[in-house]
Amino acid sequence: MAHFLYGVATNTGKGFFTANDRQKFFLRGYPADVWMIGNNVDGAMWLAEKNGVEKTKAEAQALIDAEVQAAQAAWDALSDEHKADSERPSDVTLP
Amino acid sequence: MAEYESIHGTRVKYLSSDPTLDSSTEGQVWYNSTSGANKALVQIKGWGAGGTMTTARRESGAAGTQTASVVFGGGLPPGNPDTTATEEYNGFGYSNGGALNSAREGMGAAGTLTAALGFGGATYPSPGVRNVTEGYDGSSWTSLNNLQSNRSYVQGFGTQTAALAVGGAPDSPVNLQTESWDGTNWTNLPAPSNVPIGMLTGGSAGTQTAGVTFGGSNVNSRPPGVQATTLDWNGSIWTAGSNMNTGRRRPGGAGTSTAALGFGGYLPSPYTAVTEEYDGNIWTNSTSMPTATAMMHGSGTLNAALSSGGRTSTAFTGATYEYNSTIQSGFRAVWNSGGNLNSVKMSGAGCGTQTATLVFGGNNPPPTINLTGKTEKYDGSSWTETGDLNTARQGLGGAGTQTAGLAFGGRLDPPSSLKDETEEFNGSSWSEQNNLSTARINPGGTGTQTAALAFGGEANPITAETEEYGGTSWTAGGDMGTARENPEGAGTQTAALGFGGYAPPGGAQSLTEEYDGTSWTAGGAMGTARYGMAGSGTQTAAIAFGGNPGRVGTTELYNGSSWSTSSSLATGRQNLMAGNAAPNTASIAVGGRAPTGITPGNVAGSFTEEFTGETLETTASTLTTS
Repeated sequence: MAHFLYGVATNTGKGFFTANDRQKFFLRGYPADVWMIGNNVDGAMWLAEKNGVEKTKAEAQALIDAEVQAAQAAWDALSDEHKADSERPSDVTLP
Repeated sequence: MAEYESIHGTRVKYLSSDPTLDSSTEGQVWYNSTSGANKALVQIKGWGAGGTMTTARRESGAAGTQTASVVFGGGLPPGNPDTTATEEYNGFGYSNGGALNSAREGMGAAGTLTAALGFGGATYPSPGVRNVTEGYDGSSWTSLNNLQSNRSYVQGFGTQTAALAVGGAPDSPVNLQTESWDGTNWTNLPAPSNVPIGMLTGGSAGTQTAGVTFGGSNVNSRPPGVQATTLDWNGSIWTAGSNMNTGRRRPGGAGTSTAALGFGGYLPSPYTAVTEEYDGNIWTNSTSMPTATAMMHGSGTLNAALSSGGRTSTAFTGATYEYNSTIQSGFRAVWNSGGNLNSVKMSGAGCGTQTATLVFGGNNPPPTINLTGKTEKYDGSSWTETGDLNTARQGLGGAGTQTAGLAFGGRLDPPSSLKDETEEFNGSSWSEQNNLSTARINPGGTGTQTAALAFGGEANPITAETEEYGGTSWTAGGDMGTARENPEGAGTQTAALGFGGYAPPGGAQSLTEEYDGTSWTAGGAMGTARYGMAGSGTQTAAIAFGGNPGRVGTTELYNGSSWSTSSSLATGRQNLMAGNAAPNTASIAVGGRAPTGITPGNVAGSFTEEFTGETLETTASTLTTS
C-alpha cells in the first residue's frame, strides 16, 4: 500500500485541519490546493469530509506544475524593478 | 437579528445625560432623553502617521511596542547591499541604535526594544540565506547561536529568551521545520510541530506557546502563490485557523494569537492597504493603512500597532504608521516652526508664555564670544527688539513674564567673571536691582518677578545653593540635594521643579528635584540625562526639551512623578531659551546651538519652535438609521 494519498481540497480555514487530525495522519499542503495525506483510515476520512477529490500522484503533480508555471509566467511579466523583490518561482516536485 | 439585550444581558439605558465616558462605558448603548438620540461609546480604529526612519528599507526586523520599538537591518533599493542600520522609535521619532553585526533582510524578530532577537534572513547579493542569530540590549547587537537551518523571510515571535521560528525560504524543499529558542540555543521541534503548509513571507504574532502566522505564500513563487491561510500554534502543533479575508504576501503583523493585527502586503498587484483584526477565531476587516505598503515589519499590539518602513508600489519607504483602536480621539503633540529671532543667540534666558515671550542676553559665537544684552519680545508670530539688558552677559537665569521679567546671574567673557547682577524688566526697559548673594553662571530659574527662585549653577565650584527673590532682595532657600550646573526649572517659588543639569563625575544628570518653598526632595528621573536644555510648566506638569550631550531635540513631559517622551524638536540644540511661564502644553523653544551644519555659517540659531501638547478626548457616537 502506498504511504500517501493525494487529493485536492480547498482550505476553508478554522477547523480545516485540527490538532487531532495532525496527530492521526501526515498532512502537507502544496500549490493548487493539493494535499499529500498519510494513507490510513483517518487520512482518507479527512479528505472525504473536506469534500476533497482524490488524485493520483501524477495528476497531483500536473496540477502543481500548472500552478507553478502560471506563477513563473506572472513573475516573467513583472518589471525588472519588481523582479528584484524576489527570485523566480522554482519548480515543486512531490516527494 | 440579535437584540442588544441578548448580546449584553442588559437593556438600553434611558438616561437624561451621557454617562461618564471612560473604559467602563465602552461598548454600551444608551438613549439620551435630553437630546433624543441613541448613543454609544465605541472604539475608534485608525492609522496615523508616525516619525520617519532615516533609512528607508524593506524586510527589516522589528520588535517592541508602538512607543518603544527597534527596527533593524533590511533591504535597500536595487544596487545597494543590505543594511546593518538599527533605529529606535520612541513613539514620536527615530534615533540611531547599534548596528547589526550581519547585514540582512527577511529576518524573524522577537522581543522588545531593550531585549530584541533577530534571526535568519538573507544577505544579498551574497552569501544569501543565513542562519545567523543576534540579540540586542538596547544599545548593541551580540552574535548568538545560529538557527539549525538557513532560512529567510521567516516568521517569528516571542521574546529574547523564548522565541519560535517557522517557515521561510529556501523553499525547495519548503522549510516546514519549526525551531524553538530557549535563550541560548535553537532546537528543531519534533515532526508533529512542523507546519503542514509552506509559510513564506507571512505575518506573525504571539508567544512561544501561543502564536499565529498568516498570509504569505506556500511556494517561493510570485503571485498567484498568495495565500489567505492562517495557522494557529498552541505550543506544540499548528492547526488551521480562519482564512484572512484578503490573502496577501509580506504583510505586517502585531499582537497575540487571540488579538492579532495583519496589515498591508501585496495581492500581487496592486499593493494593499487592507488591515484585518484576528480574535483567534475570525478575521475582521478594519481601517486601511494610509498607503498601500508591503514588506514592512510590524510590532506592538492589536490596539496599538506599528508599521515601520517597507515597500510601496513605487519606492522603498521609511514611513511609519501607527494603528490605534481606542475610545479616544484627538491630535498628537507636535512642534511647529515659529518666527525667527532678529539676532541669533544661545545661552541667554527667557520668560513669559508661547504668545508673549521675552528672551534676553546670551552670546553669538563663533568665531569669538560675542556677549549681548539684546532683548526681544515674541507675540506668537514674530520677534521685536526692545530695551537691552544693562549688563550684557551669558548663562544668566530668568523668570517672570514678558511685561514683568527678571534676569539674574551669568558671566562675562573674556576675561571670565561670574556675575550676581539682578535686573527687572517693565515691558520696555531693564533696571538694576539688588544682587544675588552668590554670583553664578547657568543657574536654574523659575517663578515671577516678585517671587522668583534661583538654584544651582557654576559658582566656582558648582553649587547646590538656592536663593529666593521677593521683589526686592534675595534670601537663602534650601540647598538642592545634588549640586549641579545648568539645570532647568519650572513652577513657582513655593512649588518648583529642578531637572537635569551637569555635575561631575557623571556629567549629564537625569535627576529631578521638587521644591516646596523650604526644601528639595527627589522626583522622578528624566529618561534622557542632559544639561543646557530648556523647559517650562509647573511642578506637576512640566516640559523639558533639547540639551546636551548631542544637541538633542528630545522632549519629555513630567506629570508630578515621572517623565514620558513626547514629540521631538525639529532642530535639536543646546543652550536654548524658553518662556518658563508657558504651560507644558504650549511651550516655546528659542535659539540655541544647533548641530554643525544645521545653521549655515554659524552654530547659534535664531529658530523658534512652538509646542502644542497632545489633545485626546472621549466622545460618544450618535446612532442613526440608514
